[in-house]
Amino acid sequence: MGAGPAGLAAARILSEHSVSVDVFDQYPRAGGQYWRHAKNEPFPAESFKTTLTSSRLNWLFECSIWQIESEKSGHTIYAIQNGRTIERTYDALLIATGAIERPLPIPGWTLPGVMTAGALQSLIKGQGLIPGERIVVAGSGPFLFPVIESLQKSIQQSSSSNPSSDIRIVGIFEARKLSRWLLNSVGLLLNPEKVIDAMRFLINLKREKLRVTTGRVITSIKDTNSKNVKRISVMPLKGEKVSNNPTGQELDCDVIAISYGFTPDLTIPSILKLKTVNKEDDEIVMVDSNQRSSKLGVWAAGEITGIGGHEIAIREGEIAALDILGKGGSLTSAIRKIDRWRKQIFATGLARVYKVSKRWFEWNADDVVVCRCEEVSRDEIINSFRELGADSVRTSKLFTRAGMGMCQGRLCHRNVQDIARVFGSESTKISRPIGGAVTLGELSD
Amino acid sequence: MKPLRTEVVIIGAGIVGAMCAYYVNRAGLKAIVIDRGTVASGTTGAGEGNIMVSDKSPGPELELALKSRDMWFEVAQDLGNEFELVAKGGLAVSRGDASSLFELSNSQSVAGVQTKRVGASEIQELEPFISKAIQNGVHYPQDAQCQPMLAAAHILRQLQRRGLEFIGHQEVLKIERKSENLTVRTSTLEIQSDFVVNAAGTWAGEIARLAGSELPIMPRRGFILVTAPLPKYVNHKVYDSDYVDNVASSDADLQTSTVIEGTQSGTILIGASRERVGFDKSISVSVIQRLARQATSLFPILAGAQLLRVYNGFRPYSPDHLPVIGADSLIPGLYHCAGHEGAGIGLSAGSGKVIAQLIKNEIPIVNPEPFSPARFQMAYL
Repeated sequence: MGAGPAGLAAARILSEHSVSVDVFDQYPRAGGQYWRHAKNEPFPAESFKTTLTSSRLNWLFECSIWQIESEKSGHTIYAIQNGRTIERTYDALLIATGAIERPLPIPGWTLPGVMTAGALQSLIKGQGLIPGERIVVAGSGPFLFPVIESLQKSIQQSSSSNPSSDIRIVGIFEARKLSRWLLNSVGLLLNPEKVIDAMRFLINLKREKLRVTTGRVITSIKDTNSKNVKRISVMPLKGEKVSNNPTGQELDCDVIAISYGFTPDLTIPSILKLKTVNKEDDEIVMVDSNQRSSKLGVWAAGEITGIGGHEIAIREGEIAALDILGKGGSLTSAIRKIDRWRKQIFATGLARVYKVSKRWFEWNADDVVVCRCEEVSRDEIINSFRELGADSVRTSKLFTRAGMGMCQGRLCHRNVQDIARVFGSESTKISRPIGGAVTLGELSD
Repeated sequence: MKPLRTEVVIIGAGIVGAMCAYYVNRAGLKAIVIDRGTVASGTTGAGEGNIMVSDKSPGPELELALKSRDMWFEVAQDLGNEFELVAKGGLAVSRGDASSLFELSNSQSVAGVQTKRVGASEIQELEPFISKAIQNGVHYPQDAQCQPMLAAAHILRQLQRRGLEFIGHQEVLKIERKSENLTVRTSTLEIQSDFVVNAAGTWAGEIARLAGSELPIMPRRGFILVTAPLPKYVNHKVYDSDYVDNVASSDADLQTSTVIEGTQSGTILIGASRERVGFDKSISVSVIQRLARQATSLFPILAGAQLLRVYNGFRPYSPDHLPVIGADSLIPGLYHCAGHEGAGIGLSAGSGKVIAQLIKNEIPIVNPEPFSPARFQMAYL
């Protein structure tokens, strides 16, 4: 389940052996979020091209898996593909459903022109479109880099094809100071190539006369009198709190791309009731060294077992596939496990460097919508803890409806969890009993 | 650790516990409510908020339901209706032979329920999106609904301003009788009181055992399907008349029949599956499919509705499907108020009042005999 880096890496190994494999994905093409590409574009990763045409793999794209039932005879997946019901039973499942981007609710974040960094990247990569002229990229974490790179590339292309075009990045704001990289010194020592990556990126920025302002966060976005133009307030972040020293600044722009990293998409694991653990405040699927989950016959790989990027995801997919083939103890597997370990040390350090402050909701005194589907505000959620007796995300949700709307908390669960933690609650496991889109009519067939 | 002292300890902060607290407080008694979790973390948090008179045959439960339904509106008057209480009305329909539905509604109306027989055109008027195949029905204007979690939370919060104490996250370890007192022990507390009210819902049997008594309360699983928000396709609580037969059944096998209703947030709830499976919380595809099929045949327009989630709640029930309300036969000072099955929200106000009246030695609003725990405890005496 999932044709991103982890799923594809597993499929590549499985397709080299005589097993029959179905690959499910909700998108029309393989690649996941990381290798998202337009229909007419070649697949972005050369080494997977033969996998995509392998005759042993049966691709089930645009599939919505809404339920899985596990019995002794196997695991039965119930899915909908173009209105058609799919019901198939498998000996082994590999879940590689990836992560969801995490924006933070900032007053004004629902205005047009404000989007997640991932959404901006999809527009650029998928449709070759830059949706404005004065662009701000803000948030925290390594995902800002590739987004800025694609943005720069696209700006260059557009100015070479149209010399009068004047699209510019007017600000890049990273919440965390560079000095926090000390928290990842072991990771850097083990992964020296990452230093080179970072240097290359910084040199590139310099060439374009861009700089990243660190230790700053956007605390509000407001409409101005001129069309499409937004005015943002940018304030220094000291530890977990916004400070007024040095003083903040205001800036006009028309596109604001925000990214505060990713959170694992635990929808399918929650249907299977897989055991999860807490890692850096994210709920992740608990797996053993062979990527086996707590349930017999179910493996998990990629971002759902911890946010780490596509390189770890590939290794995890491979390790899982080898174990499914009964080669979990092989040398091939061992070599991949060492590499996974090295990369995981780096990823864990990175998560520490760019850890999002739990107190983001106090950065601005103004109230802000946290759950967009049900329009539940920060103050209503706080009130459910202070006044109504909520003691968890679950009970707060039942009082306020935060997380009960169309997206079933995919966007807000992680953020409500932060508020809940500040009120002393333990974390609520994600529960999404219906995994994907399915209509009553489709169920009635 | 200095023990706390109060007149009444109420175990359970669901809607039944909250209503017990309300009437005990009104009776002028000092009370503490405790719960193993927080407010409404059990069955109350997994229900539709039904306050129904239409699904009950004449008898003690209907008598209590009618009184209780009116008391809900009094509570809302007193504390403020911050829990979406509304008399939306119920509509029971029949696809085939409606004689048993009409027989029931006749007897209900003799018992004091407002009923009105409706034919195809009136049904279409009440529910413009209902299947044209539906020819017969009965409209029950008294049926009401609320948001039960908000109700329990609001009632407890308001009562705290009137002297009630609520302490969450207290799992009861032991209930002991010492001289004139009952002592409730939790992991961190010891509370001495004159009376203990067991309003622990599906866990009520466990609480009775901790006090040295017995109570046959068991969990019965129910699913509710929730759709994505839709325009107002369903105005009333609409159900197949075979639902009524189903409620009174004690067959352990799965039984489903549909109850469909809209909520203020636009979602449509499809409920009423009941099966007895202990505390296993897994969801079964066959039940979901069956409920979906029944819903779309009643309201064809729902075929395009997206299923958003499924709740899975456990309803506490007793062997004769009547709630257990009254004094324990073995332990003086211990009262039970549990086992309301799928009717707990509706019956909670009346049940709480009866408990307060029994504690105060007043004549209760309904004859408490049929609800007495003694009916299950005779064997132990």
